[in-house]
Amino acid sequence: MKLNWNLKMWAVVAALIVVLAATGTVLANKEVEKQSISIVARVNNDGSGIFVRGDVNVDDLVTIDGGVVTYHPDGWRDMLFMSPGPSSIQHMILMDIVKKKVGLGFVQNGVPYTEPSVRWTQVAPGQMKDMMAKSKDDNLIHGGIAWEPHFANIVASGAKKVISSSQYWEDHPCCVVAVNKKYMDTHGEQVKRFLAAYVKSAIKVGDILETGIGDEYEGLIDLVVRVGAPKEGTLDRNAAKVAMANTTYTYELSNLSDELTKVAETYKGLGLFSDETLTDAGFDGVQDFIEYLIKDGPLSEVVVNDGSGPRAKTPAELSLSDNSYRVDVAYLAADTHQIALHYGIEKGYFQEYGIYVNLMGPYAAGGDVMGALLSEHANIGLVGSPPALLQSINALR
Amino acid sequence: MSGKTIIEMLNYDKNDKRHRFARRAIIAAASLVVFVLLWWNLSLLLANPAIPTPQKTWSALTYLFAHGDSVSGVTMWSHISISLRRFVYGLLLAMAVAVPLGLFLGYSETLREFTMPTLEILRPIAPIAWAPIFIFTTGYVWGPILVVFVGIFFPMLTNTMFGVKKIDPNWIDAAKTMGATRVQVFTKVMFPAAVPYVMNGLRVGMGIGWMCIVASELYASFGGGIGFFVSIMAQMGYWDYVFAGIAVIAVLGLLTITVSDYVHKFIVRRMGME
Repeated sequence: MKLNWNLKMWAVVAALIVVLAATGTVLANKEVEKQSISIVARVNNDGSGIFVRGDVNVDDLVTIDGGVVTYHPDGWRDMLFMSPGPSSIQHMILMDIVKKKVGLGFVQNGVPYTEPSVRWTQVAPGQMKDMMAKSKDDNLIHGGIAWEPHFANIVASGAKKVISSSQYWEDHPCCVVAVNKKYMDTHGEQVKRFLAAYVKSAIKVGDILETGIGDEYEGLIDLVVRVGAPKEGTLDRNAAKVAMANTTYTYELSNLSDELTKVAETYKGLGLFSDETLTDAGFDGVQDFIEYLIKDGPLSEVVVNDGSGPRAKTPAELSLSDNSYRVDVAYLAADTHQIALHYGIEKGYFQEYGIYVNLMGPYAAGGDVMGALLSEHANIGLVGSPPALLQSINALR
Repeated sequence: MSGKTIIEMLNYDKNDKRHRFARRAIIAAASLVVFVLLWWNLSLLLANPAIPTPQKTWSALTYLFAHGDSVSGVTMWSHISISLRRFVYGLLLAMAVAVPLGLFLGYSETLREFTMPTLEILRPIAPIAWAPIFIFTTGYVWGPILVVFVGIFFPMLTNTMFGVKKIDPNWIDAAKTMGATRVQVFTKVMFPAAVPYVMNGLRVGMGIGWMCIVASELYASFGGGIGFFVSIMAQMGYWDYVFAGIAVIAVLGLLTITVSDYVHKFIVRRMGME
């Protein structure tokens, strides 16, 4: 007597399971290169700040004496702050301040909590002013943390400044120029051309801001008002000037390794990653991984210091051919940290170096820019260094 | 022993309930094994961090339920509870509006003809398209709830209307002949007769509603939820957590549909309308 099962079908299923298990085992033992990025230049330092509603007493939260900030936990307790999102440097700063300096828990709004805590909720910086005004009557949102120009703009609209991010960590790293690693390995010339144009633009922006007057300065502020406003007419011109003064524009990579190590240690302390992820991927630790991320070669090739200060080498000095290339560049929405990119495009610096910048975005937060870079949707991205670091670590998991 | 040979015992008897159950269980298990192996292979083949292996996803899932994540500071149970609460509020609101409205529209042809053009314009709009408007106008608390409301409202409304229209006019005439008032006709004849259709609308609507809550939380949410959890974890590149969140969404969606199917079948059977 025979079994009345469909034995052919079961034999196929069993064979499929054996084949899939075998191929999986083979693939699991194969070495693969993980997606990653390289950091080739800095974009800015500082340029963010914490604010509260106009009716909140700042002295209940912090007192500042001779540059020393003292935090008062009772004032912070149960407050609700807006953040651009957990992947942003602003979120990391607020989280670190609340947990380490204020000594309270930091929980997402809406979830039950028992320990004394500060709550956070994700709001795009461009919407923070409206959200805070909208919730004033029901006392829902007390404040937030935002990048420039939103911080200056919100304060100009009647909110109060608690501290700027430079008061939390002077000259802290913020945005960087990141390049998809595969693109970097295969399109070195394009990266060099882009970087030369970017450096030229960043130096020019720095010079204009140092002067602080004149047609070039007012022209730059016009651009800031256009780039930094989520919609036309929403960014106060004076606030734009303050925002520019609160931010340090640079391209230099010096000390970035040490500063990113500090960021990484902060993340580790906040429980956002462990050394195991790095060691499992073959790195000796945080420092080793950061050295792998930062590539100063292209920058040193395009910058020259000939006595009158550093400058970008000209296309002739770089012996560039007449070819031109398209580069897909991811950028953040309404973020004036990245103004040198927009200034360079407006002034034709990138064209001068044979680069057509195809802007990808704008993206709402640094995590999204990193997503675009790691998925090879964008070749180059201007992104906060903390999301660049954390997403690169997570890509190893 | 019953005297059956081993082969006789192993032979499939489709009239035996235990055999049918065992067959389904074995096929389901084999299907899941093949699915997990395919996933494992695909993950290794693509070597993309956004597609973690099943092992990593399982570890993330168990960790999230036990310890939670460092970003939101809460466990997966809290996110589930937040999403479910929004879902239930949206469901109750949709029932409270769609059922009475459906009964009235099914009963009154004039009212139906008057409202149908507007409803037909609104019905094809995907519920998630309303998310930015609801969130901005009503805030982050009610916004996602209203998206769920829209998702459930239309299936419930159309099914209730259909249920009323399907009532045998003789039932209503008979009730009126026996002296029933209009209110009694409405509550004693029309509503009970429409219940199986209401339940069918509920069954369809709950499936859509669950998709709506996750989608609206992905868009924006004031206070967590599974969709929001998936969104922030993706922003930070915790892809194993993202997959764990997706697995939770799949299981909860399956549970929601299973429960509504069961309730629907139970009521239809109780009312003798199979």
